[in-house]
Amino acid sequence: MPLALDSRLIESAKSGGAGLERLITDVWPEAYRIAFSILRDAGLAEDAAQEACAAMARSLPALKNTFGFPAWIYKIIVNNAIAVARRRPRTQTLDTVSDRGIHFDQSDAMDIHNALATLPFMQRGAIVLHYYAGLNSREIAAAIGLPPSTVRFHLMLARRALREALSKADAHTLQPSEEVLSDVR
Amino acid sequence: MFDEARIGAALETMIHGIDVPPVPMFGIHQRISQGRPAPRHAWPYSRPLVAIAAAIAIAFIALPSMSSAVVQTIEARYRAALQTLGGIAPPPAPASLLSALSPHSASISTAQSRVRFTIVPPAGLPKDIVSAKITTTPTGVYSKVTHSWHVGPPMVSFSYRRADGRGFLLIADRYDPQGERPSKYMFEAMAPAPDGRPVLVKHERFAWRNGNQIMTAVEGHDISAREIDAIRVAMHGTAVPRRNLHAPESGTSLKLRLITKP
Repeated sequence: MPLALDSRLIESAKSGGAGLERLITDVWPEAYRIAFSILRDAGLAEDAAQEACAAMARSLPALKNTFGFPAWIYKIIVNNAIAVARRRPRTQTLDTVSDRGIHFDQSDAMDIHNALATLPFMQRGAIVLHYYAGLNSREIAAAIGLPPSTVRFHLMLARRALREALSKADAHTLQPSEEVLSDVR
Repeated sequence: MFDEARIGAALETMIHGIDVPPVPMFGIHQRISQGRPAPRHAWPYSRPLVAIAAAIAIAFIALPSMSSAVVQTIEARYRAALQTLGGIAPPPAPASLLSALSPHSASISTAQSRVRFTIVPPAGLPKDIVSAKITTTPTGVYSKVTHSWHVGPPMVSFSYRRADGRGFLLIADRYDPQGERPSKYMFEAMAPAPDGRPVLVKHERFAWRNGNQIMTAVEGHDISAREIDAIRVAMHGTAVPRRNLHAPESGTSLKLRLITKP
């Protein structure tokens, strides 16, 4: 789980003011990136990330265990991204947006990026919560309001799709295509 | 084969490879104070529109994903409409200039650092605002003296989305008491009619001043004249006299504003 924040910062943010602004500033990059990875649209991602930060600020005073903050905020971010995906304009094709503003140095990351695009939003959210935020299926179920068995099913389908996509990418990388072979012959 | 660790590592690399815009602190604070947003609908400017001021201020609205060729087409459309209105259309803006007019997200403090006037944020906004965004965008300036285009100082756009899906803009710029008065009307240039004639929709434009800032808003489907006046009153702004459509132009430059969908 990459987000690691000082618990004193979280405590000071509960009273609002400068402490809250510092916390929002620290959380914003994570919120935007996760929302973008699910929504794949800069405008929608910013909408979801803004709402996640606002929801965090509104609910923060009630958070008792600051050590649980990372998991708590990841749930908020993913939930808001899924909510934005559900109410997005139906005429907008999310996955046709350009990849401006994304820089991948590794082919695995690009393959994951492409493979995620083939998944429904719920499965993208489950994948992010599981592999990035480190939540188990029970925690994900509590976060997105689905039975644990449904979450496990979603995760299984998502894993299968990712593995297939990534294995195809591997095969494509390792084996020459038919066209190349025919040239060699 | 892809194991779990490889998926996790690839996902982390992917997420960290995404560029992040500046923190929109102003918009987040607005959401904090206003509770949960209503369902989002399509931005009302989701089709290419051209808003035209008959004289000094020219603005057109584009989408972030538009190619420069499409932007040039829209810009050409505004020039044709401007000539129809009897105005003086400048020569086409070069592609290099159009590409320099891209917006940048900002907080109030970031925006303040980019402009040469004191920003007075909007107040007295309609109660149904659900999201807000601030951007700074350089303006294109055409000099009637040197007959050339150059990139001018940025304007600040406050864009708001309403609970029912409508959205509107308030544009803040530096007030120049010696400059051209703002035009009273803006013309939205729709797609040309089948016979090629420009199709225009007329909107009244309001302008008010706070210190060395001039803020403008255009009434229409998205915000009424009464709501705009409530904003001006809440900001303690002084209404700026506007120039009528057929009043002669006296300025030495034209401003081109590319307003991009938030």
